[in-house]
Formats: sequence, C-alpha cells, structure tokens
Amino acid sequence: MSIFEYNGSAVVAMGGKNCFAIASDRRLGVQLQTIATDFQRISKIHDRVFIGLSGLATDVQTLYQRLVFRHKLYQLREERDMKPETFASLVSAILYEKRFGPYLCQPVIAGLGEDDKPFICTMDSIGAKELAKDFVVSGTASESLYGACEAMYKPDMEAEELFETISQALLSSVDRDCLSGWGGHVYVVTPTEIKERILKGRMD
Amino acid sequence: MESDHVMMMRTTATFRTRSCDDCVRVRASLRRELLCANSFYKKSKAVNFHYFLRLSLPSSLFDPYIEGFFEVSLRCAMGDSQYSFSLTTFSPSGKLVQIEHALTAVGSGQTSLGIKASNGVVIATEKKLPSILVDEASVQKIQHLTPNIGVVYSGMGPDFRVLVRKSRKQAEQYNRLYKEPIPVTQLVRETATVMQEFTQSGGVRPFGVSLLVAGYDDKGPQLYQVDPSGSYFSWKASAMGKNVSNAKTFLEKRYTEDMELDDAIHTAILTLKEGFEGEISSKNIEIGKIGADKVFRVLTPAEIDDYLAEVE
Repeated sequence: MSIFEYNGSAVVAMGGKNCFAIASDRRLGVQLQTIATDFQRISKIHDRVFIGLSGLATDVQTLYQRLVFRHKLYQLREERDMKPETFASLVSAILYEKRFGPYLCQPVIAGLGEDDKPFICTMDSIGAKELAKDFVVSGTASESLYGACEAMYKPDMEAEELFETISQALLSSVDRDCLSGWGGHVYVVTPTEIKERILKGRMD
Repeated sequence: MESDHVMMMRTTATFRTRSCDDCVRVRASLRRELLCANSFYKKSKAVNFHYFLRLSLPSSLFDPYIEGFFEVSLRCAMGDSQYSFSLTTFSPSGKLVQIEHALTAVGSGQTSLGIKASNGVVIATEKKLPSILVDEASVQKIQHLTPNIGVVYSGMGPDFRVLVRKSRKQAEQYNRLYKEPIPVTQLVRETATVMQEFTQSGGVRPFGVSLLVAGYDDKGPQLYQVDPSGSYFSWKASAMGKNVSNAKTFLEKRYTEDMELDDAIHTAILTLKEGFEGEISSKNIEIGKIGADKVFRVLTPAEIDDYLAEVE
C-alpha cells in the first residue's frame, strides 16, 4: 500500500479555447474508511491560476498554505499576479527543495496565460514539470483518467462543452477507483468569470 | 569635524594565593588601586576604567591554591564628536555620519549620468584614466547586470565591482526560481537592500558608490539611482559625481518627455561635455544604451565617434 494511496484522490485539468477546467473528486479517506465527502483539493491562487493537489492530504494542505504564502509576498513585492508559467516554476522549485524528504503530493496547475491562452501542467512529487496542451491528470484514479480523457477530449472546446467533457471523464474514472469518488468539484475558468460546480455521481 | 580617538587597552593577570583570606586581601588592594586611578583620571572626564576581578576556587585536593584573575580595560575618548567613527550610531542631529562621508566619496568621483527616453534609456560616464599608459580597452565602467539591465557608477571602483557581482547573483537566482527575467524594480530593490545592510552591520563600512541602473522590461524603460544609504529613486534624467549640479541644471533644461533614444544620447554627450576637462573623445567616455529590443549594449568607440561627430 503506497503512501500516495493512503487518502485517495483524483485531479484532472483540461485546456479549451481561451478557457480551462480543473476538477477533482471529494473523498477523503483513511485507506478503506471514508472520513469526509467534501475535501477541497483544488485551490485558487489568484483569479487566473488554480492548483489541484493529489496525494497525502496533510501535504496537500501544507503545500497549499506555503504556496499561497509565497504568492501573497510576490504580489506585495511585485504589485502584480504571478503568471501560470512562473507559478509552475515556483512549485517545481519548492518541491525539489525537499528532494530527499518530499511532499507526498502531485500538483496539477492550470491557468490563463498571456492573451488568455490556457496553461496546464502537472509534476511529480519532486518537481518534474510535465507541460501539456490537452489534459493532465493525477491521483489514485490517474490511469482511468488517462483513458477517459484521451477518449473524450477534443481540442478548442468552449467553456460549456469543456465542463461536460471534464465532468464525464472524472465521474467515469473515479467509478473505477475505490479510493476516490463521492462526487466531483469542477472549476471552469474563462477570462471573464470562474464557474464552480459540484457534481453528484455514485456516492461511494 | 573634530577627530576622535578611542583607545582600548586590556590587561589581564592571574594570581594565586594560599588561602581565601589572602585572595580577598589581594582583591581588595587591587580594587583600591584601580579606584584611585579611576577617580584621578575621571577629573579630566576623558577616561573610563572598567575592571573586574574573578575568583576561582581550588579545583582538587592536589591544588590548595586559589586562583584569582583580574582584567582591566581602559577606554579613553578624546574630543566631543564620538559619533563620526561608529557607523551604526546616530549623531545627535539624527544623521548617520558615515553615510554622509560615503556620499562625499561619491561626489568626488567621476561624473556619470543617465537619461530615460520614450523608447529606451542611455547611461554615460567619463572614463578619465590615471595615465596614458593604462590600456583603456580593459577598463569597463558600464556593466551588465542581466541582458536587459545595465549599470554605471560614481565613486569607488572596487566597491562597484562587489555590488555588480552581488546583483548579478541575485538576478540569476530570481531567474532560476521563477524562470523569468527579473523586473528592474525588483533588482534595484535587492541591490539597495544589500547596500542598506552594510549601513547597519558591525565591522563593515557603507559602499562608496552611487549606482545608476538602466533597464527595459514589461513596464517599459526605467532608470534608477541607488545611494550608499540604500535609498533608491526612479529618475527621468539624473547625474552623479563631480559637477553634478551643473549637469543636473543642464539636464533639466534639455530634457523633454517625448525624447527619442538617439536624442537622449546626444543630450548625454552634451551634458558630459559641459564639465569635461580637456578634449572629449571616444577614448575618455563610455556610453551604454538599451532600446525597445530589450538588449543592453555598451557602445563601441567607433559608434561613440559617430555620435560625437553628430553633436559637433
């Protein structure tokens, strides 16, 4: 039983046409026991950058707090928000600082860059960045997610269609994984608005 | 400014006595002696004595002696201005006098100036070499901090070298962390922080340079001046070093908001010419510029000659 599978998680992000969507499951478990069904895995760094963290729940929370801290200081010093690429480099550096005693989580970073182009990337627990144009996945359900996204993804989808696609991909994948599920939490972000939606799937 | 002397003398001695009573007697007599000395010198209000005596007890059955130890330190300060030497002490008028002295060092350095145009920044300096035997190609007063930020100084060359080294490292650290080139304001702030640290630490002195930092980033062309105290200002046009008041007056008259980079270079040359002793040529000035291409370049002597010809 790997430590990454202790709490169970599923996170996926997809890029669309001048928008992106990021979604996660809501289960928090301790191995086979479900402890909570409303665990927050995706967090907003600022209006145009979101980060979803899968893996050990305590590291998810701590790493999120550290990143928010760094971003707030950056905002105060530089009087501007961090670009998603810059934020991804920062996360990668922070994870590699703990190379020999790492944070046991895999982040998924999604944001809107210059000219509203979507930016998505994932990394492993020691900061190896993986950029993608279409979708990125992480968590215990990652293998199912890869399959579902590959099948359902189309390039240049608009916000509503992107929402449908990411929701279907998430729900069908977590149904195949006993450690993740209990609904879904989806954020669809366009240059003008952030839409947050809760999905009701198989509640198990 | 009155000069100041501080002398610190220290004497230590150990003594051993057979018994505790003897030791106490020795201590008492020593103390009496020192008190007399102190009161004698105190009359001139110039000297402070500090002394202390310490006893240690026999450490084992084999050592019947008692060890005593005394240390006398003598501090004498002549003159009223006890503030000008110590960097980290304020003077009664609220100034840090060492920083004033550092600014004087800057003010006696060679003139340098910078002008921010609408589409770039130019910085220039005199390059007066101590002798004609010096190989002027080896002297580079204008330096890069990053590919899009350059810097020039007035004051002490060696201090400048140290600051350039530190700033380059900070810029590169930022780049390594964020994979993004450092904004000019951030680099200036970090350099200024380094300079301020040297005004508030023990055993160091302030840097004897003022810097003019020229850069072009997402916010457009920028020109900053950083002083030995660590304060920094953004300027449209500025000058430092010898002849600074004439140069600034000239710049105030000649500066316009919508100047282009080439006009700015001409104005910079004319300003340098104002206070120049001797013949101005491409061998005794240095000019650096950065335009909308965001690449900082030091002009070659041939290019400087072209601009000089245009100015004549």
